[in-house]
Amino acid sequence: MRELFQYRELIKSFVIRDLKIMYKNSYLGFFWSFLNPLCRAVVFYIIFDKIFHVGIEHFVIYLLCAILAWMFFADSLNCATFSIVNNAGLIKKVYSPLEIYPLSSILTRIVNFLLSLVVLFLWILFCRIKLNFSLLYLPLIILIQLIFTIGIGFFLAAAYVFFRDLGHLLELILLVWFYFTPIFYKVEMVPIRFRFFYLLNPMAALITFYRDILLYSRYPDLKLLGITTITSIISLVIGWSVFNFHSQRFAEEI
Amino acid sequence: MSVIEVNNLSKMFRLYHERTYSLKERLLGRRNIYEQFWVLKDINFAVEKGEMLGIIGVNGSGKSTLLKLIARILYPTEGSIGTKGRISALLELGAGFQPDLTGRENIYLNGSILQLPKREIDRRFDGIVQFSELEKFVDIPLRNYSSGMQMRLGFAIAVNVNPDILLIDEVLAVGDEAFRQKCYEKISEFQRNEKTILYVSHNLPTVRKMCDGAIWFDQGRIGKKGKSDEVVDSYLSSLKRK
Repeated sequence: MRELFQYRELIKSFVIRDLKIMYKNSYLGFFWSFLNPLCRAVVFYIIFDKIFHVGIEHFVIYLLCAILAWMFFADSLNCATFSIVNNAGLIKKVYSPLEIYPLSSILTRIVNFLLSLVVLFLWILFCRIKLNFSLLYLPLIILIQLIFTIGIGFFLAAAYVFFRDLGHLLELILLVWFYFTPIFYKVEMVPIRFRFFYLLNPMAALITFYRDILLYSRYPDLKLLGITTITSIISLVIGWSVFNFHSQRFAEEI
Repeated sequence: MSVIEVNNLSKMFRLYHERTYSLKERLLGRRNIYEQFWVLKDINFAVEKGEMLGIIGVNGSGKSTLLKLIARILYPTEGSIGTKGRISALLELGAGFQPDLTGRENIYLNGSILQLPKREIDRRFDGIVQFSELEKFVDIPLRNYSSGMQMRLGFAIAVNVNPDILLIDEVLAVGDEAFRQKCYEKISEFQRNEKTILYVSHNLPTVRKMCDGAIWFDQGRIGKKGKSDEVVDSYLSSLKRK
């Protein structure tokens, strides 16, 4: 842990490197971080508000809350899983604490996520939704999601080194996970007897919180918040331990 | 005072005969079959502060593995390695260079990979550019550099890290005569400044000339260690016997 702190500058440079590379050679560069969620919002608006007339009020915000959080989660895992193998050239030649590779790839994604939230807030402003002090919970919710994502990301990064099928499996896992998360439907549509187990999926709980805060000006359910925090910390502890247990062999296996 | 201490060090690699990562074979319960290959076996030596130690031996005798172990890239299977001070490993110049970033951006990125704080890089930036003779190209992307230019930049960054222990693996074999000369001068400067250097090389005259001592690795064991002249001689005669 202390070593990781010493390497904070390297983590920072990796994040900056990845952001720079992400947008190098594109004309709009950095603006894509805003443009992408904005285009999504417009598409959702046209399809669900103008064409299909979905009955849910402010459906664009309803979807954006979920989609943006989900994209942060899924993109993070997509990058973190391959982060060790993709940095083989570096890992085999230079010493560095290996945690920084999945960590920095996830932090790159959170920068993107935070930028996309700007678009969401603009849309919220545009729809004249009144927000209240529940907004103060937002940083906490993001932090919990970050912790959960880092845990899973560490686990997947380590697993992929020894088990390359994971590259193909990940896509399927994320697809199933996507449908077990209330992105295009309401949590209320899940039968009540399953709902408790359903909400044990931290992503389902987190997305409910985002909507509570950003759409309904509601405070998150504290019991569910507690459970989600605990699940996320467990995920971090397990992911971190698995990663550290195997990390000594990474350089020989990649 | 010894700054590197290697005790009973052994390193085993797993040689997979048919490397399978696939799910089908895992499900069928077939484990990966591998052979144990001991690259290094029972290595003991110590390096004093300010010493330059040459490491010689035929290909595959474990020289590079040793450097990687000291650099903490690999971990010992048995035994231990103790080091004191900052290590800079020149195992490959410009490891981690990003072709899409400019020379300037790469200096900062590579500097932080080698654990140089940002203000240190600020301070050494001009020196690095000057040493690499790339003043005119510092703001163009690295993919427009020739391989020689990239290598010069890599070396310039690595020697500016100001390490206590420098591990060099044959990197000087590349590059033109003038740049090679510059590199040797830089190494002499390190020697004068009491830096500890481990130098893996096939260039035996240089090992004789520059190194205080040497170790000859023979199939993962120490063939001989001692004065560089004597070690080089017995290495050469072992080659003739074959």
